[in-house]
Formats: sequence, structure tokens, C-alpha cells
Amino acid sequence: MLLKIIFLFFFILFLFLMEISLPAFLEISFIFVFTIVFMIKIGKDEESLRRGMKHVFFIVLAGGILLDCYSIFPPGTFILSLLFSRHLAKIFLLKFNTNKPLSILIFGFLISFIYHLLVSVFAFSLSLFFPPVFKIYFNGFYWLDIFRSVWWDGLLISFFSWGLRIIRAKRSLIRNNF
Amino acid sequence: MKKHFIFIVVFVFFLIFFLKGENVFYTILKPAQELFYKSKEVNVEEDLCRQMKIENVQMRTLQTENEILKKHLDFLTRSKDKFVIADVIGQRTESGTTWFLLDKGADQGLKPDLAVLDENGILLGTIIKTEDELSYFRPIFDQRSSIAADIVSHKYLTEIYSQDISQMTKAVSGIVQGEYRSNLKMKYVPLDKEIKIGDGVITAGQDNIRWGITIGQVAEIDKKPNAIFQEVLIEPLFQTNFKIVSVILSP
Repeated sequence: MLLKIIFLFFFILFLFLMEISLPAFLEISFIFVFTIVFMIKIGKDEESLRRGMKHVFFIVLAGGILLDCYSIFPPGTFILSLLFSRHLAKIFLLKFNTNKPLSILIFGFLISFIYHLLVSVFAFSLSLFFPPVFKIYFNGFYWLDIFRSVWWDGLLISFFSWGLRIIRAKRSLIRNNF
Repeated sequence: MKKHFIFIVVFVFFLIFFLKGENVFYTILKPAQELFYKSKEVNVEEDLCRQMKIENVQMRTLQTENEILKKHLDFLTRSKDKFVIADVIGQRTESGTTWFLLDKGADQGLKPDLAVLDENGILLGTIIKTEDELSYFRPIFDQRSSIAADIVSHKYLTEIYSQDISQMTKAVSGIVQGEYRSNLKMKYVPLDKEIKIGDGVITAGQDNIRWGITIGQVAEIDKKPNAIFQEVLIEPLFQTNFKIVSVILSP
């Protein structure tokens, strides 16, 4: 358990460093993508999701703190956005069938859109309590940026989820044959 | 007799060993030693080659850094500004907001609204938030960025450091705002002011940003007959892939 947490922490640190090192045109939220892919991976039924949620909570907390520490947004913006996205993703995964590739793609785009919208909402709301250093203009450029982020994040979520599913299927096939 | 023979052989052997032993062993073991030595020699060559490659890469990195720093110092010496040189350690874009992270902060004298320049002295953006050892700057092309600027003729721009501010009374003033990605637009420019394509755009001097920092060149003029102001599209002159920047401290 402890070893898993240590490994997760270093992996989150790696993802965070990737996230802040990418060129501006690649707006990928690696920590968010990892959280969602992890949730898709741990299972569909309530029991397995409940068991894996401890790790998801750790990912959200560690990733959120790191993102908040190196952000111009008010403190707590990313932790809250990730927490709410995690909660919504759990509801989606439990209520809807996400076994088909297309449903994963739709789920990926939808949850990414919700996450980026939540970041803006929390950034705006929390700036009422902290001295604001920025303003959000809900104009065409804002929506274009959101669209770009949703596009990358949604694609990555789908890509990794499909990849993991294929690997799992191949592994079970090999296990059954030998 | 046999005992004596063995004794003599052993004595001669020890004699050779103690007197010339090293040479005897060296002669006997030479082929094997050469084999090992050669293989070791190859390793040494490989090691040396690898070491030289590493040193070469390090030298190139240092040379590049040195060239960038020299360029920074060139224009900073000319402009006589107080400055802090900082490394860009990261960048992020979220909700349409872009920011860059610098490895220098309030402890080094950085504070919000200071100008951040590239190696050629071109305005990159302004500091928006500082921590003790870290600061954030917003690039000039971010749509939230708005900086007071002047449009000056191309001739003037080339002699910018030798001119007197009082001669700038004829400059056209406006507000430079970020558009999308690396586009800049100058707004609130009176319609009657004459601007030419290729004219230089410099900071007008506000709060912590001094007058005369180069921003870009006029690329397009949007003049609508019924409007009060004309809009000017600016081609920014900054380096897009900046790693080292200088922050101009307030006078």
C-alpha cells in the first residue's frame, strides 16, 4: 500500500512536470487525464470503484496541490475542480454503460468539458476571497481555448482507456491459452 | 643427486624470480596482458569518446546560454536599466489564460507589473504574481494583457536609445492588447493620426514599465470611416522560444 502511494506520488510529480513543460499550444491536463483513466481502469461496478477511490482521492489531492502551488489562479481552484470532476465521473461511470469505445470517447469529451468549466467557475468564485491577479473573459477566445483543451484531454482519455482495455483483453487471452 | 638437482632448479627459479622475476612474469604474461590491455584500451577510448561527447554538449549548452546572456547584457548596458536575469522554468494555459514561471521572485526584487524582456530587449510580458523565490509573468499576447504603447516611425526606432523623450510628443498612443496566440492589436488610436505599415511600437511608460521598450511593428491598419478609433494589428518581434529573460526593475 505504502509502496503504491510512493509510486503514485512520483508518477503524479512526473505528470505535473510534463504539464508545466509543454508548449502553450498543447493544453493537456495530464493529472486530470490520469485521474479519469485510472477511474475507468479500476472498474465499473460500485464495489471496485469504492475500493479504488482511495487512490483516486490521493491522485486528486497530490495533483491538485501541485497544480495550485504553481498557478496564478486562487488557491484551491484545481483541488476543488479535480474533486468535483472525480465525483461526477464516478456518477457517470456507475449510471451509464461505458464499455463501448464510442461511449468512452463521449464520456472523455464530456468530463473534460466539465473539468475545464469547473476550473473557470472555481477560479472566478475563489477570486472573490483572494486578491485577483487575472480576469476571465467569456468571449470567443475563451471558448476556443476550452475547446482545444477538451479536444486534447478527451482524446487522451479515450486513447489510454482503449489501450488499457486492449492490453487487458490480450493478457487474458494469453492466460487462457497457456 | 636428484635432490640436489631439484634444489638447484628451485634456487635458480627463486633467483630469477627475485632478481628478474618481474620481467619473467611480464614476458610470460605479456600476451594475456596485451589482450586484457587492448580490451581495456578500447573501453578507455569509448569512455573518452563518451566523455568528450558529454563535454561537447555541455559546452554547446553553455555557449548558447552565454550568447543569450551576452545579448541580454548588450541591450541592458545600453539602456542602463536595473535588471534581474531569470530562467523560464515552466508555462501553463488554463481557461484561456497563459502564464510562465520564472525562477526569481520577490527576494530578488521582483514585483507585479514589471516588464519582462527577451534577449533582444523586446517586451515579452509583465509580472503578475510573485512568491519569495518564484514569479509568474503574463505574456503580452495573452488576451488579458493590456499595455499603453506608442507608435513611432521606423527611423526613430533605430535610434531609440540616443533620442530624447521630449521629441516623442508627436507619437501616436494607444493600448496594446493580446489577441489570440501571438497576435497583438493596438486599440484606441485616434482616427486622424497617420500611421504607416512598418512603424515601430514601443511602450508608452506606465507604472513600473519604462518608456521605449520595443514591442513590435505595425502590420495592418484597420480604419473604419464611421468609427472614433482605428485599430492596428501589430507583428510582435519577440523570440517565441525564450528560455532566459530579463526583468526590468522599476527605476
